[in-house]
Amino acid sequence: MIFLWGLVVCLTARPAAAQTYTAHPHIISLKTLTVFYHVTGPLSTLPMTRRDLPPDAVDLGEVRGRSCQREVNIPTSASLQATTITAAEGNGSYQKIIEQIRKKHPNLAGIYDVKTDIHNFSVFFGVYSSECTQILARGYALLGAAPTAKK
Amino acid sequence: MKIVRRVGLWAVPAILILGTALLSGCGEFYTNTIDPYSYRAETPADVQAAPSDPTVHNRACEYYLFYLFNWGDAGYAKVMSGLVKDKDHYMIYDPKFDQTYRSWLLGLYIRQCLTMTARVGHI
Repeated sequence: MIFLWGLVVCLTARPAAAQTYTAHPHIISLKTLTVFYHVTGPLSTLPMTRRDLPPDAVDLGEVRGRSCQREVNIPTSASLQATTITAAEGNGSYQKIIEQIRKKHPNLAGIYDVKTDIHNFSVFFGVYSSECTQILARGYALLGAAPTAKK
Repeated sequence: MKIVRRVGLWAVPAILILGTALLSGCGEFYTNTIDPYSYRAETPADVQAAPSDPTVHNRACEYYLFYLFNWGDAGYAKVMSGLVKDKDHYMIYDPKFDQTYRSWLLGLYIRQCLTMTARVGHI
């Protein structure tokens, strides 16, 4: 009976979880026994398109950046349903990624055509997991600043 | 008789995996996926749009197996990659994104795909 109930829960939960995707804050959630929690995640942005560029903009080509939040969950017993002791840390914000890109391209004035994806990684039923925000965009510099990229 | 033995050998790990998945409350043993989050698409006003601009299609997928394993890249960057060779002069605009799910054998194998149809214009 428990087996059948578990099967029903799995079959109904999977499509529901997959179909409810919307843009929302991507922050590692707070658990019951959280001993440390300091995370930042993406919430919203209004990226530019090509026509929003200033007239003196110089294209810098493709730029990319990635930043992560990480979490460790230690089970308090041998059960797979056990309460876990959790620690989460990391900054996966837009701001952090822009700073990263700016380090590679010191003349960067901004980015446009921004594609944002979330890389989810977890192993062993979530004992270690990470959520990384990754951006693929095009950068631009303003005329007067030489468009050079740091190798 | 040989067939029965083979089925028997396959049934043991299958039951173990399924049982573990059910006992774990649908938790996943291994996850390595990339999901789309946000994208503000270019419009015909952002490029030199022309009626002759080619239409391109692409698809990126991620997969679920036995409720335990989840992998694949179905992100915007992946689905839009490889479509434009000369990125300095051409750009994808007016994209339409759709998501497709396919499930086999009571959800033991699920394929979730992000599909895109767009046009390529000169910038």
